[in-house]
Amino acid sequence: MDTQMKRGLLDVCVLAAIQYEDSYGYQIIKDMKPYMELSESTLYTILKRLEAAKLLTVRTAEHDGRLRKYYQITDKGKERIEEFKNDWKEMMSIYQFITREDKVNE
Amino acid sequence: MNKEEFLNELKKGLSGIPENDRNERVTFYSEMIDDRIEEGMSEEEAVSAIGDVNKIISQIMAETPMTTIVKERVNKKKGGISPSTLILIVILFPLWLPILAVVFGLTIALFATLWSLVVAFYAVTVALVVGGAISIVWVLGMLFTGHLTGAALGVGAGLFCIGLGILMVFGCIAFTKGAIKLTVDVLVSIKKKLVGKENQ
Repeated sequence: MDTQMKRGLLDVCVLAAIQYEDSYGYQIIKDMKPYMELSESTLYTILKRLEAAKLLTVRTAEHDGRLRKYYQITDKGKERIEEFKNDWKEMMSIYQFITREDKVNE
Repeated sequence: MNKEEFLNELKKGLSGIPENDRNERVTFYSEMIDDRIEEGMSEEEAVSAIGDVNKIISQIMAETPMTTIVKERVNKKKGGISPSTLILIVILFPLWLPILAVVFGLTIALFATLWSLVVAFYAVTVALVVGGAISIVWVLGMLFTGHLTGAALGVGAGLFCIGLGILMVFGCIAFTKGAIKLTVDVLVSIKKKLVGKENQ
């Protein structure tokens, strides 16, 4: 897959992992595991990118006597997911056009 | 490898990136290991689940822009020079400046010599071909005046020059390639010296 496309896809996947409730690093990796293998370093880079783009915010909270970082989606982040869904709809109709059966010559 | 060893290795391997970034990454991995241990893994298992620390380091270094690494290095160097070293450098200024100038001059001279040789090679080649061609044309003139022996000699010499010239074209190409390679190699090694070994 084209790297630019993959990068965009990964961004949306991580946003989707936190779209309903705040989550933390290891939980995100576990939630995504059935769909795609994501390494810690890759996740770190994505989270940094999303934070810089203000698509999510980070807060540190105490958990079991240690600190853990929680990631919360912003409205802008939710918009990004919606954009992705709309883009994908468009892509699907193009896909149908590309893979349509030849009716004229049948 | 236990958690502490892993995090120490990571910290050491990432010494080339800014401190904030480094600490944040180390904290991130520390949290990842703790979360796995909490889930029931042993410390060793949790660390090995993260992956090979050297691979992680090289991936991070590859992702970090070159400018960030160089900037960090320069910052570190600034802090690393003690006042006494600085004074020594300033006092010895009359000594190291000429040396630096000589090294610089020698490098330039080396390149100049190398490339003048390349130019000379081409000049000789062109001279041979053009000279050969002119001698043949000139000899054709001699034919009309009846100097047959002279004409034969002239044609022979002309053809020889042209042939030699054509052969030398190949030599020129090889020589130019060599000169380019040498120039690039020298420039790259100078750059490496300036930037330092860690960043390759």
